[in-house]
Amino acid sequence: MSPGRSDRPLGRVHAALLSARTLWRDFTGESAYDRYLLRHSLEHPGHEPMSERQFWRARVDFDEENVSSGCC
Amino acid sequence: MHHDLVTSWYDNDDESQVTQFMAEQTSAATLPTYSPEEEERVIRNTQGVPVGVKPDRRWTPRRIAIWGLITVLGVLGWTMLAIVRGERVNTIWFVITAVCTYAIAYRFYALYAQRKIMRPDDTNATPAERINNGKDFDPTNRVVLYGHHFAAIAGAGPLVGPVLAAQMGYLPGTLWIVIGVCLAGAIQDMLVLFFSMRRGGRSLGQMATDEIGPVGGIVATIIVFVMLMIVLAVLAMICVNALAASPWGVFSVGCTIPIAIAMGLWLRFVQPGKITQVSLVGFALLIGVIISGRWVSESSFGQAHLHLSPTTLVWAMIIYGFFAAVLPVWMLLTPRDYLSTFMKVGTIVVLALGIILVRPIVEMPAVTEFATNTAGPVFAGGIFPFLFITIACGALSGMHAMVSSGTSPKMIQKESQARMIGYGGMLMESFVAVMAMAAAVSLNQGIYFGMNTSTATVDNLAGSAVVQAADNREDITAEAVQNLGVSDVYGGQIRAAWDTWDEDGNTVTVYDGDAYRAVAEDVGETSIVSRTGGAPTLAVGMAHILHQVGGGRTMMGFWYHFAIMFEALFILSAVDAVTRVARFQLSDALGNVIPRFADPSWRIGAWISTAVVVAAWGSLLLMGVTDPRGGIQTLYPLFGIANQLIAAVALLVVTVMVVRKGYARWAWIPIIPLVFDTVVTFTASWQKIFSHDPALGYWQQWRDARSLLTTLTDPEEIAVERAIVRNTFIQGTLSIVFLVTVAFVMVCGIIRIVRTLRTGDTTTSEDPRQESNFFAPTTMISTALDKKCVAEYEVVGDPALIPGLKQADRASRQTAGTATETGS
Repeated sequence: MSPGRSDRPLGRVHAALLSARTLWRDFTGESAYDRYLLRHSLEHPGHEPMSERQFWRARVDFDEENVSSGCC
Repeated sequence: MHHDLVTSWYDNDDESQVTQFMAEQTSAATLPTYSPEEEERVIRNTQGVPVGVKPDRRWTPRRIAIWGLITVLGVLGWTMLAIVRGERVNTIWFVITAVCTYAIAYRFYALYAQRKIMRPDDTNATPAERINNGKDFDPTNRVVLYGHHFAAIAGAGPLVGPVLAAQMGYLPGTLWIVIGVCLAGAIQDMLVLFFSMRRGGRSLGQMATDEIGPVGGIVATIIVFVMLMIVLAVLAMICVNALAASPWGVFSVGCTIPIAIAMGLWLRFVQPGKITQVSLVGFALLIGVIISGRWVSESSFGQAHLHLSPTTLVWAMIIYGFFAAVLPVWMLLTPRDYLSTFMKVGTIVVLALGIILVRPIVEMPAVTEFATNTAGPVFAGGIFPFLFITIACGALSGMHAMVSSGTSPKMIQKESQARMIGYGGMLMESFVAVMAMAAAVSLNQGIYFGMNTSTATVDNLAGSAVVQAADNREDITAEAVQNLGVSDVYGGQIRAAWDTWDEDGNTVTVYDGDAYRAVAEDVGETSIVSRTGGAPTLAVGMAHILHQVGGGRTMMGFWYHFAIMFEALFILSAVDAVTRVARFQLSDALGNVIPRFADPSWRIGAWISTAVVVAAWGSLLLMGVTDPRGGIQTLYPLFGIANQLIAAVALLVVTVMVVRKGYARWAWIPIIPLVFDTVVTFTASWQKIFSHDPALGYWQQWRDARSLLTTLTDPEEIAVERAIVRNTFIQGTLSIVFLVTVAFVMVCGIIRIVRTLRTGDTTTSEDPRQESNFFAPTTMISTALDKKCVAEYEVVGDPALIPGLKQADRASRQTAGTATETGS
């Protein structure tokens, strides 16, 4: 168990809230750009990544032809 | 500028990158220590990286006690629902019984199926890990994927089917929903998901082609396409029936379009990526339009312009469907999906809380007369086979095979998660269906039947003398309901009754026609009789339950229109997403003949194929809505048969895959639902084609209408009979086409199975194995050992796959060279 957590009584609550936030952002897809940046920095270090606006446009263009049908 | 943005984001918000596993993150130097028993259970790949954990199968006293308690509660629940008589049942038993049964099925039967025919191997990489392109192939946190998968499979279906099936009483439907999902629906979803995952996320149609041969596969693909059109038409009809002559509903649902477009524009031009904020504002606006709907509906504008006929709404739906499918997705489709998901989560939580807090008493008997005769006013036909096609989603739904072989298999992190996503996701949908059933059967029976009997049937039941004497539909319906031939819990005559408030705010109970008028007034509608399709009934049921939680009478209209709104949102989402998908399918198919159609950027081609798709479901919708005998009664069985035939095709493909894998010994697991579903759909189709009972057989209705036509002189009556002749001809022809084509596909499948058994050839179409280099927990809540493995993986794992690692850590790891290369 990591040190420092025990001396913060709210540490557990804080961690739970943070994890809930991460889950929510992943669920809505909001975290996509951040994840893209991380990945880009790993795979193409030194190359300028897409701007936030460019990224979301590119994502929408991809969705344009990859619609997932819902259900009844 | 851009770099600043990135840096500042991390500076300000550093900790948000921490995942749920944050608590377990250790510094790069320390590895967790495992006890010998734990080390025994950790699955490692050839490089020693943890990639999975073997389940702990020991039966500790605590586990035995918990499962014993669940079993006892489940048995008690079934006893209360099925055996105890003479007292009225509390709906809380629906919840308890369902949850206990699901838990047992998930823990034991799904696990058995997993061990025998799936045999997940966490040392094998899933398509998401292998391809990991950051787009559709994206290893997604299992909890998030569970939410996605559930949101994709659940829509209006599980809410509507149980409401209609309630005419047979609460027990047949509940039994089928709860037992059906465990043995059929969830098994289908899980196996399709798993097999598609083993095949790079291939679609059901592609798998059918691979497994049972090109001819069978192409026929299956085409027939599934046609069935989708029926499904869309019926879903759209439910929406039209709910909005017809309802200015409040038209206003609030209509407002979702400008709200969604505004959200889309904002997300594109002002704040790209701020999905939560924009969705919250959109959701608040939705609530705002639902509340202001009463005021609009009472205004002269509302009465003059929003009081729409069903036919007008059909045209509105057709125009909407066309534009939604050709407009860029960011403008309408994506933002409306956000709203729809918000509503989905919100509604299900609200309904569950409502049932748990209010615990309404069931008004419907366990089994009514309509279970055994074919005289049911909601849909015709006896319990077998028609109950099993009326409740599709919630128990077994072929449409789910599309989702399970669509996006979900491309996102799953580990093979062993397929049970939680596939089986678990479907259990949740089934639970939604159980709650819909509980909401419907806690309504007064007179109200239920008055709402769900079509105008034509009401007139027949009441008799022409009553129809001519009365000056309003409510009194005619009250008379008709008494002639239904169905009895209440105590075996007496049913009668509409409704608790409402008088001018001084005192509770009063009103009966018959007054009851229908009081319901309409309480929920803010002009009239609620003969509002078929299930959605308005569920909405009244929800309003009936939820107004007791808070708000009282003033909130009743809100809850009613809240329920109408979410059903309409689900349906509109399905209408435009499926139209769009079907348009791509059609363009691809046309591209084989006219190559230009294959080019997705060719606008005119996209418009032509969209128009064809919209015309296909639009004409069926128009036919259903104008049907003189009531569209739900005539078209809903075709919808159910189509959906369950898709399930039969999916289960057949699964069975072929199981046999070809060499697991014929355990093929009975998919064969049980396959055989049951085949018998149900083929019997239902057979009765729809050949039955001489005019309530059932399309061709008998066709013959009757044709012979009646020769005797008529009144032009109005002639028009009615002509419509019946035309509609029954189309419905009868579709029934025959469905039956013949699915029978053909089945023969192809059986030939393939026999050939495989004879040759013993178990060459599989699965993707070749590739060693996994990724760890993620299997269960929804990670165990202590999972957390240790996560911590170890964060030190030794592939940085591209570690969820939520801080950028600085990754960069240092990258330079230190401890990272392995990302796959592909």
